[in-house]
Amino acid sequence: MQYLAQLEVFSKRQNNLNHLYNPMNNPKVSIRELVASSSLGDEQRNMWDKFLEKLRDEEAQLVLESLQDHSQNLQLLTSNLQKKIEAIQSQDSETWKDIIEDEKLHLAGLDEEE
Amino acid sequence: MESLEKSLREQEETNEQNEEKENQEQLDPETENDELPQEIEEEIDKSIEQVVALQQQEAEVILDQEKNKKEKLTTSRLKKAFCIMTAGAILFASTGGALAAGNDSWPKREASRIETNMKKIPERKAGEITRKIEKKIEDKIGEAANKTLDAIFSSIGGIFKKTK
Repeated sequence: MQYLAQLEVFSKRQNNLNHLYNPMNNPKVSIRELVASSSLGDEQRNMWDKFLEKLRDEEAQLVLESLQDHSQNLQLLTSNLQKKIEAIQSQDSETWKDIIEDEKLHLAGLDEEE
Repeated sequence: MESLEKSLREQEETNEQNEEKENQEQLDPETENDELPQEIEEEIDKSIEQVVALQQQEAEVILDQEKNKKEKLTTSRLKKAFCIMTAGAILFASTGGALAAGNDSWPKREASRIETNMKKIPERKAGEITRKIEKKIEDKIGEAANKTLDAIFSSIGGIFKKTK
């Protein structure tokens, strides 16, 4: 039992290392694949495409990991990005506060689940 | 002479008895070792059970720790992803018009508006803000994302004030 747990830990570490050193694992490509296979509309897909162009690989990696954590996170982050862009566009600080408040509530909800 | 013979005979008998006794002692442990006393067997079984239980407990603790770590990582990654979305939204805005997609779409309609709004922010200033935000995100990794988001919001709040 103990060895199984240790094996699991070792296996996870190995996967992490594989991920780091495998050039085939491009996070942006993986995100594009996730977006392409999702039910998001053309506008939202285009937004992701443009957004990814601006991300560094390490940032894209973090976003990818979050998307892989939970299938709902794609919809959540898409909506989050879209609302933030709209808030900046309209220079609406109240909307911005609401978005941040929603984030806090969502994260608090996750903490409670844990 | 008779007494000497008697003495020798007695000695011989004693030797034979001793030899027999020794042989018996050597044989006895072998026959006894085939089966351990029940008490000892029970003790051994008990010890084995305790060791197995301890190992199981240890394994469960390790698995729990791994599960907790994974859950905390999930929340932490989402916090960081929110921060990156913020930086991305600002980058979008600072480059202006990058949203344009199809005809008469939400990005298309808003693109000219963004450009107009964002032109109010000097390009150099927008770059500085972006770098600051990126640095903050890097610095704040591992800390509560709310603080980072508040800090980012303050930066953005500053832009709103300056451009209004």
